[in-house]
Amino acid sequence: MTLMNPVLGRELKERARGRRMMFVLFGYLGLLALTMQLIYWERTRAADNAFSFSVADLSSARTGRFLFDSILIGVLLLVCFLVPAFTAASIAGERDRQTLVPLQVTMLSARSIVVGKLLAGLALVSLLLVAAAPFLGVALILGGVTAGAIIKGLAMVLVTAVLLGSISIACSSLVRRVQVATVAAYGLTLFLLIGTFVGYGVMSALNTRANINGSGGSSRTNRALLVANPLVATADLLWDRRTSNGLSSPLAALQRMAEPAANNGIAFGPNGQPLANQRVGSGFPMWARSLLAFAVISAGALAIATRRVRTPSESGDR
Amino acid sequence: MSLDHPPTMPTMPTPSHPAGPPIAPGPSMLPPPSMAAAASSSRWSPGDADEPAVVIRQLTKRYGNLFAVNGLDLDVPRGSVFGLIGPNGAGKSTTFAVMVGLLAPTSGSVRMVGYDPSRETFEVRKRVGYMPDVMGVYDDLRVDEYLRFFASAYKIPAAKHDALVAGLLELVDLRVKHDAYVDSLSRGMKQRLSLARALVHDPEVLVLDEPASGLDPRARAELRTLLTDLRTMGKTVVISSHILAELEEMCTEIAILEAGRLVASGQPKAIMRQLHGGRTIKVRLAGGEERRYDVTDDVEQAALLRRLVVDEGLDIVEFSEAQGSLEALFLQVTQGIVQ
Repeated sequence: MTLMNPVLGRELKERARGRRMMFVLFGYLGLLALTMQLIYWERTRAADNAFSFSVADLSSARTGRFLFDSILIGVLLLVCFLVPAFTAASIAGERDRQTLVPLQVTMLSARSIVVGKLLAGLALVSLLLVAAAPFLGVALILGGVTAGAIIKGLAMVLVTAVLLGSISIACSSLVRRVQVATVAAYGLTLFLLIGTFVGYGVMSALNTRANINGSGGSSRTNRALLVANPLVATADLLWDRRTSNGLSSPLAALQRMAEPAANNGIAFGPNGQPLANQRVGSGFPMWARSLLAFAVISAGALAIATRRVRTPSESGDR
Repeated sequence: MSLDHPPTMPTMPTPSHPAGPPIAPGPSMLPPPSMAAAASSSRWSPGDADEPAVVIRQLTKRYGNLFAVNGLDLDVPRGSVFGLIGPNGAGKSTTFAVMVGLLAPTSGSVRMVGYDPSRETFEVRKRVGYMPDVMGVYDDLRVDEYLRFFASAYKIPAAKHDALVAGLLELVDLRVKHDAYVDSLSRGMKQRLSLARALVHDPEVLVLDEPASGLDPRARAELRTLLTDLRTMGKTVVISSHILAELEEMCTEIAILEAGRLVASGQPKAIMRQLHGGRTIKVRLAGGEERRYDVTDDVEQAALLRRLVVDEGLDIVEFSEAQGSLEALFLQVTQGIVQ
């Protein structure tokens, strides 16, 4: 117990005893199983339909890739939905229960308290990722995806959980009420997932109009918005020319949606086909820029939370 | 009690005020801040046994235009049970929050067992136990797990937790409830558990904010016994309460706060003497008649006795100093100011 952050230990014990985690895990696994079953039916139906028959659809590798992309996006979205619920109440909940002050007068630093809260949230996410591994393993058996891609995909989901967990804890430290913190955390999560796409679309439309009028506009500025989008970052990290190209999976669709950004720096051959995972110039890949952005946002959010929990405070807002 | 790190026995303090306990003047007699701040807290070094457990000098905490605490000076001798009395909004909880390092003062200084809670926060946390006025509970934690969690939070090695928790539960008489969920305890039991939590790191000073609030008479009596035990163990206890009768029985010294200002402090009897300009002698005669006389000192008291017995030939069955209640004293020195 002394080796483990005490806050983490208590949170894990408390959550393990509650029924909520059991329901979450059942629901999560149920959704993943349903997704997998639907994909199986869809692929089988496509193969049985003589009119839509194609060699590509029957390719085991493509089926495996489609399955992997779909399950991973499902896991990512579920984690994005669950992380604010796990972490947005962390500090505000302690205030609400009047348990923060006894914690603040112990030998635990503000950083230990905040990190303990984040790790508790991440521990639950890790459990969800481990639970998802067998589903992704099916894709590995079918082919079209490597063990490395699975590890990279799960790692990106974990990084996304760190990002959203940090933001949620910052929200939790800034407001007194759990409900307000939760709403704020979900609002920011939705902004990252959807708002960045909307912003990108609006700015692109404005740029197009500006170009028609001759005043010009920068598409680079538009794409900068997508750097903070975990879906785009994941799509870019896992883009694989051999299996992603021409595939109609959710991940491939996302990759194409953000094509100017995600394909930024990819080398194309004379016939317009992308060269095997080659990137041109010194272009920093999109996913790497996203990781940097996530790190900066997470560090900033955790610094805000630590500052709010640190004592002595000036305001007495305990 | 068999705490794993047994508490130190009381060290008799060398009085910082050799002429007797300090008595702060009433509102109309408050000295100018420059004079009141004359006693600098820097004359002691950390760990100095001569230094009072708590030294507060010109403490001010301001929220905008509101002075929660205004120029407070206070000394709490080591080994004492010190009561902080005042109406709601008097600044008791704010003073406690500054003392335990939760709040930064606007101005002034505080030293807890030689350390500044604003700058040497962790040194103060090591030596001070704090029980806030409201006890929050963690759902799904058992009583012993609750104490183990706080033992870990105070960085006490896990190997010592068993003995420590057993000792604390014994002390607060909750051993039979060790396996119960905290949420299922009665209010009195929760208060005792909260006290055990504040004692988990064997602090030198205990700061208890309204520990008797909401307790029934039996639970209050148990708490009073517990605090008396703690004093005999050498702890300095600083306690606030609205139940003045409780403090009257427990406290060796008191301070009365009103509207963030110190109205009076010292031993209750001494304060009463100062307020009355002497003492009141109660005389009960054989027939049941009771008389009261004001005297200024022992000489006048002896002269009174001789006069009544020798000159007037009265049959006296009781001749004693009248005990004024703390409540009467409180009402006398406070003016009901609400900020």
